[in-house]
Amino acid sequence: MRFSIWRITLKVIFVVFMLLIMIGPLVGIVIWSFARVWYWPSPIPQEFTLRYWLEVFRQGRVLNSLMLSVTIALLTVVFSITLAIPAAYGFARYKLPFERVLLLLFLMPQTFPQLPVFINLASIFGRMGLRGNIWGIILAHTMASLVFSLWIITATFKSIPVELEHVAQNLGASRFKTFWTVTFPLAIPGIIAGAIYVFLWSMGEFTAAFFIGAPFIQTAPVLMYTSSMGYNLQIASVIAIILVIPSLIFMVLIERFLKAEYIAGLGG
Amino acid sequence: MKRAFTVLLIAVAVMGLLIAQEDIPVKLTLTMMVAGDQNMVDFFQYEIAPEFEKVYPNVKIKVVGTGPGDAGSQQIIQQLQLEKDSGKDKWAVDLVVIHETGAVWAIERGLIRQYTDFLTAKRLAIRNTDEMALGVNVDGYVMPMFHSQTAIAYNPRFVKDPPKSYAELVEWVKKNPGKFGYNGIKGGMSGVSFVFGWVYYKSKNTDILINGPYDKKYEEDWPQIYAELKEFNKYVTMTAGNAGTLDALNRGEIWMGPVWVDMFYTWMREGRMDPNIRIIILAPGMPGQPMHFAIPTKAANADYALKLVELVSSPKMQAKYIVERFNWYPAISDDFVTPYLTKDVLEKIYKDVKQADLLKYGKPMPLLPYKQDMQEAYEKWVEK
Amino acid sequence: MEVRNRIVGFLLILPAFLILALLYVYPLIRAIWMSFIKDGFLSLANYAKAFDIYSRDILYSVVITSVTVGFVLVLSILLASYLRFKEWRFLDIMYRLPLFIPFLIVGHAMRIFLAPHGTLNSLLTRILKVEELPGFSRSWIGLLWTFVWVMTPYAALIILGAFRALDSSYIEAARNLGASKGKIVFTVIIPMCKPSIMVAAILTFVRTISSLTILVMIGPNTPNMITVDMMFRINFFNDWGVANALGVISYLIVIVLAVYYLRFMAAERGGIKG
Repeated sequence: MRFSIWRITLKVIFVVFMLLIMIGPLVGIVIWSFARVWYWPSPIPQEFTLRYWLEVFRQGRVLNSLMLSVTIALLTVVFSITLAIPAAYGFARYKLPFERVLLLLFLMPQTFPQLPVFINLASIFGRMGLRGNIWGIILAHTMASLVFSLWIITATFKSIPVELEHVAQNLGASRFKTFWTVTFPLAIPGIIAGAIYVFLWSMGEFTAAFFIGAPFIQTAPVLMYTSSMGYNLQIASVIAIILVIPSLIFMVLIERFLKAEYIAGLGG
Repeated sequence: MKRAFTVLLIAVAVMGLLIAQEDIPVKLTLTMMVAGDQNMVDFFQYEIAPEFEKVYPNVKIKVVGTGPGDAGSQQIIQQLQLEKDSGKDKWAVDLVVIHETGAVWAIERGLIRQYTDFLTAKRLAIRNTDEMALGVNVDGYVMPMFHSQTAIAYNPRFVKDPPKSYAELVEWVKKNPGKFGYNGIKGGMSGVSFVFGWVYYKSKNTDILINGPYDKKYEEDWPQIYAELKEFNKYVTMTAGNAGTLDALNRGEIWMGPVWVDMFYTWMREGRMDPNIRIIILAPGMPGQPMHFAIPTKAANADYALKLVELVSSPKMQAKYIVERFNWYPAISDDFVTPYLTKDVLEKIYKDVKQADLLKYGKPMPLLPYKQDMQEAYEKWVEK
Repeated sequence: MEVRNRIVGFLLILPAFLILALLYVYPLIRAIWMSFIKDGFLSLANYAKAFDIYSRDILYSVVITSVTVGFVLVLSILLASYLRFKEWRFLDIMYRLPLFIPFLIVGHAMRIFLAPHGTLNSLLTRILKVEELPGFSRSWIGLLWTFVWVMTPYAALIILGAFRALDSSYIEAARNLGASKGKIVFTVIIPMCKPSIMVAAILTFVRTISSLTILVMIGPNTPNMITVDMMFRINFFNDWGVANALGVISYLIVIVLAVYYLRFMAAERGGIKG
């Protein structure tokens, strides 16, 4: 390893450059979230305020939309995981015809263009009275998030040695009891990881929430969108930060679960 | 005697019960849909709703914003149409605030009802916007909430001597390319109004475009007019919507651009606008329009909707909220509003654009068919 | 026993599958069906109109997306090659940062960052001591920048995974023959990881062409990508026919790639590596 001054300078420049382009956009929204008066050519806001952050804790639009998003995300997690556990067990332990094709089918909502499906879903829901209703959004989110819960939990079940189950069954336990007392407890970390994925995805989801819910239901991303479009940059930035922080913490925490397939749809 | 007394007693008791029953109003939610930018939603949610709920504690107001421009009104119309098609007896929407275009559409489709006869404030409205909108008779269906006007906002830091007419503006943009910005015709009404003002300025038939009658022959000179607008656009920055123009002004990205006066003042009040920026109306005139209150045909809580309209239209509320707090132009005659206002407030809202300017240069929107033709012409001749 | 097992397995996946069929497959088929309906009759009118008004936008979508894929591939291969040979925690974290940020928020952040007088230019004008710099939001440059910003980490993750999974004996062998690192990357690693690189490219393409939020946040007013036109058709004109026709067109563009995708996924023994 040679230490030359050029090498170090180059490295410093590269680090600064990376910080600027990767962190820079996030710094921008943090500054805006505290700005009260900010007009050009001042490089930083002329006046700062906590007013927009306080709206997160005060009864009002921002708090309502956040609570709504959390409710939708939690219910989505419940449905998605409940549907995924038996299905994942089926995929992991039983021989199924067209297994790969079926698994890929669940991936479709996250990779194929979503918009046409969501707008048609919105119009179908419209006739059923599910448009402008949180259950409509929850159903759409459950469908689209199945891939995360299903794939992660399937992988978890597959990683649990089947011999453990055989031992239990040889001791006389029924198949269901074996699952409940042996497989399920071992799979809990994977199930939690899946649940967190689904939760985060649902919290940040915009397209379905917008076409199915708006204007009556304003989830946090939808409110962020309308605020940003109306150049209520402060409100939009506050919501953006609140939505980003859990994701970033999560990214650090469960690095080992980070497989490309799962995050295909995150962000979408 | 005793018997009569008993009867009387029972009668009193029954009446008392009846009165008591009337005294316990049902708890209800008044749902209103509001077209327009965020400032409109905020106005109802944070200013009007608390005032109204103080007077009628049993009512909770739910405000649903549908976004700026005719697209916002369009969404409201779609919702009302859905309610109508469902055949329900009671619609979920009790009150709507729409643009003139929205009002005309709604009347054509039977989505709103006549109600203003029951309104005291109706008699205070002096402009004829409560009777005619875009050449259509809307009398009885709508009550203006406030009047707004498009104007050119400019930053005196860079623009010492602002253009006073469209003709001067054309010269100005050539000297300062990219420093005038507007939002085309899809991102909200301020851009649309600017384009209408352009047609008013160039057309030989401006009066007919505003007052009728409708005939394609009065559109003969349009190809030329739009070709010149296309040329003008070469020197212009395209902004992202009504709010986008305001933001670009605040951020110094453009020095001049058309804005709605109501939004401009809302931004100013919230500190989101560079306080140095001023407004001016270009000669020969720029369009303005009111936002209208209307009540859906089968609104479930039409009675409370009416009370809300009455409240907002009352001189005191118009003075306190519309003019003083939000710096909008009142819907009713200034004569009724001024007693409730201080001199400072009055001077503030008429600081840049004088009342005389408003009368002289504030033009109505064109007839609906001309309006649609103008928007299509822009897509056909300018955007392509 | 075998048959019984299959039935149990089938029953286990049935609920999840029903949800998918009802809420995904049915609307998907409806989208295709509605695109051929005009005023209650079967016709191609929606497609005619879609091509008439939006042919430029369709082309623009494909071009922007392809250019994005090009940039993303180059950057992610560079990143993956570097990290394959060298551990650098800083870079490892930095490149992955955008993975978990919802697109909508990326769009909003970039719109503030890249505006003519946005945070980036406010900083640069002061460092460079210049009066004015061009802004990139609401132009194709800003759009491209944002797409590359959000798509690269994802592609890099796939490619780096493949690079790392590669048996190092090949690399050692090449190195013993005296090949430089650059040469090893080009002659050994890339050819051997081609399937994964293809998958990364295809996924980047599909995700870019189907994204909506980034476009509405920082895309230019005109021309626009198909998704925005679809939104416009519905919100402004309540015109579902043309919107669905545009949807089907975006499917057709993607379907060609999806076939490749499925083949490669099958070759790679699927996505589950339990």
